[in-house]
Amino acid sequence: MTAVRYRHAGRLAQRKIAGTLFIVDPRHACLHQPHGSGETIWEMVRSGNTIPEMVEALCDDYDVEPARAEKDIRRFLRELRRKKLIEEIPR
Amino acid sequence: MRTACHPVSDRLASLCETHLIPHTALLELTWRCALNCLHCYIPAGHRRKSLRQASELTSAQWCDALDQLADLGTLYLILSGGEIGLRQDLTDIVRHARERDFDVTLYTSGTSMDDRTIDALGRLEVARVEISVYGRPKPHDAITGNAGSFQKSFRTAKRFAAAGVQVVLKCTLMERTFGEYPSLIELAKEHGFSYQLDPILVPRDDGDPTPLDYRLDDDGMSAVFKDVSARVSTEIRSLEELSGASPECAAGKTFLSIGPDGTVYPCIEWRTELGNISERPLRDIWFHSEEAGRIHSLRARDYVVCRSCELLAWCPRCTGMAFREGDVLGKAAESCRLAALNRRFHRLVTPHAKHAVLC
Ligand code: SF4
Repeated sequence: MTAVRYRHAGRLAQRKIAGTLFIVDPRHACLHQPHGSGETIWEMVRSGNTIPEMVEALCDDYDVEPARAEKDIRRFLRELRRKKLIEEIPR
Repeated sequence: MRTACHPVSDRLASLCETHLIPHTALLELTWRCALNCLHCYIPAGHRRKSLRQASELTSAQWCDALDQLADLGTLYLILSGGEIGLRQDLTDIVRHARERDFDVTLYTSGTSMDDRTIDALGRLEVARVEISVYGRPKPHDAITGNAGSFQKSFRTAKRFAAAGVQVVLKCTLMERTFGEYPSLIELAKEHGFSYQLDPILVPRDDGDPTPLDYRLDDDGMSAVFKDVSARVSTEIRSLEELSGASPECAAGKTFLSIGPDGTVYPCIEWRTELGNISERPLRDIWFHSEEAGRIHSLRARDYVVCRSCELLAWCPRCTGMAFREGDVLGKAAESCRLAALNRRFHRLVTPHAKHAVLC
């Protein structure tokens, strides 16, 4: 089975400003600002990483257990999908 | 994850103020335009130039400018004219802007874009297009000096909407549009567009004051303020929110503008030349030019008249207008007039990129 990959929604604009990432959703005139590991996950979505790859990276970067990392990643991806900021790449 | 539903959140604004990052840039891709709008701030001599005479930046130079803006931290991009539809490479420039993750707004008359271009811009997911419309067809065409221009503009608006782009109809409030704005509002509502009524007119870039002849007088402006307040619920700020208002301006600090030939300005109203990107890197101009340094160092205390003005809390003070009246640190007569009206009707005209808007 092929692992799921996501991509940023095409309409978004984004910029890292003075070390802080800002994401604009013009459809709702909203500005989102992911923090800490959220920013890492956001960047890994852009790079086309799968959830297992994200887990590995987060465990390395934040010194957390894989189970905890996976739970956080899945929760964050759910939030991004709910806000329609990411979409699944069709296989 | 924090989410703020305002185009420029307080956090973004304060980071940009601290680090002098222009979060918004307005690029005038061209001054050429086929229309002849009565109130236009661009002198007719610039609008009528041929492409060869106009010494505009090339596509490659604009794309390089976009790379430099992205590196500076600019997030919001406004592409304006003249008429941007006259740039054959508009789609290429927008494509590059979207590849560099900008939020892109287009300002256009909507008279010079073909369907293919509009559909391509829709696919590139520009955030919004703001189209100048001054009322019903006949009065509109009388203002643009171009028969049939309303039909073209309105067709463009509908095509952009069909391509999934948010459409804003913009109407400059003048004596001539005073009777027109209600139909414009109805038109916008009927088609699901947003609208803006812009009360600001300024002298042309060469100092020609003709556009000011078309200003709506206080009685007319009062009627609009009253009427529009009743029609739409917009920002009517509480006194608490207004306290602490400052005469300082984003122009030259968190906002910049680049003219067709690459000259960098604090904004399109404030035509102090900071440098030219075809001669010097933008970062160098922004952080090391003498003029930019002088603007960056301006503080509220430097605006001696305005800082202690009793109307300050209601004032949509525009430094660009003050510049055109001869003193960037002084008062701007048109701002004073709008401030008095704001106080009278307890509503705030919000400075917005180029001009103040009513909604
Ligand atoms: S009303 Fe006039 S004097 Fe007062 S703050 Fe505004 S521009 Fe300055």
